[in-house]
Amino acid sequence: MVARRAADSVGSTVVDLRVELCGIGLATPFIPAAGTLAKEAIGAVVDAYGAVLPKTVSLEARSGNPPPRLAEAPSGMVNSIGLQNSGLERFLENLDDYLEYGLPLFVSVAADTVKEFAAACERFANHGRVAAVELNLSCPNVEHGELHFCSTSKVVTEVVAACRDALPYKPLFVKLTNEGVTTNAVAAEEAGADALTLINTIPALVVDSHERKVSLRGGLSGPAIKPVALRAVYEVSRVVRVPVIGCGGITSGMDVAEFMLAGATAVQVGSGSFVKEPREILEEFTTYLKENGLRARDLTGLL
Amino acid sequence: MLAAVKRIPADTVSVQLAVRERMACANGSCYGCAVPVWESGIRTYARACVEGPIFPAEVLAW
Repeated sequence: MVARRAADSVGSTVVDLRVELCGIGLATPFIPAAGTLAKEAIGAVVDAYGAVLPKTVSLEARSGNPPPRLAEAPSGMVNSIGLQNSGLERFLENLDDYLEYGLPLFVSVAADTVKEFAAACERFANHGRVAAVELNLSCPNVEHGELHFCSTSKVVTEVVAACRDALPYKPLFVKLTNEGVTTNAVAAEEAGADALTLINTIPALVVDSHERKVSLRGGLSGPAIKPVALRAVYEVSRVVRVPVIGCGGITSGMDVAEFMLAGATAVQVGSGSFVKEPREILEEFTTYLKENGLRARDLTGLL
Repeated sequence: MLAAVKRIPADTVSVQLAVRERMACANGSCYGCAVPVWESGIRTYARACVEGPIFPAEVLAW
């Protein structure tokens, strides 16, 4: 099955979809964006992906934000889930749910403080089945009030350096928000990040004019943010040496190609997988490669 | 209305309620369709799409 994915075919021509990310071979450049593919849903779509990336985990369980958590927006959606998860220990107990597919497992972590971020990384440092850790830096830093971990490059440096120390032998991905992305990306790289995931949702607000109240304060995702994400990938990949994982509004094979041309080595598909089968996006991407006589890994930065 | 039905005393009739929530993924992935529930005495959120949409009335933490 892995071999079939690795050398997918459209018509009679075999198309090479494999990419390499921080020394990890991926059968396709597709990774599920954190929090968009639960264990209940993996089985039906897993053959499109090159890796599995479950929902962000924190040291302690979090019940998440009160509903409503979702709203539709033009060409996208706003969400405010609040990192609902059962905590890191429960996650580790149930890790087999994500391993039965034979794909590399990446884990996404979030925390309230730099120290907790490092403690979460340390928990995965010697875990044989976890291939890489991604830091979700778009969560509030309780030591700095409402500011999140991407709000200044100084905080990015601090948290990435602490996690690097805690995770010396595994690839460390850092997922950044769009604001200040270039400065933060350089700071993350200098502090030891092995790859950068760009971008997370964009801060957004939904107002109910009838009730005259804020109905949702969350993050915007979907095709609405794609041009913003592309710009971030393009700008950052020109100033860092580490690979970039593109994320933001991917819903078609052409979107994947655009992100890779702009400099991404792999991509994350999130909201797009709620409206279209990932397999269909992969088939479109395969067709693009075939028509252009390219392998997936040839595309990165090929502008 | 569902909350009113939930107030029917549990020893008179067994009540199950079907909830409607906004959903993005409808397969358990996004945690968008959260409904407040009691789980081992703790108030938390369940997903209407996979744990629901039908819940025993006493489980819902309204």
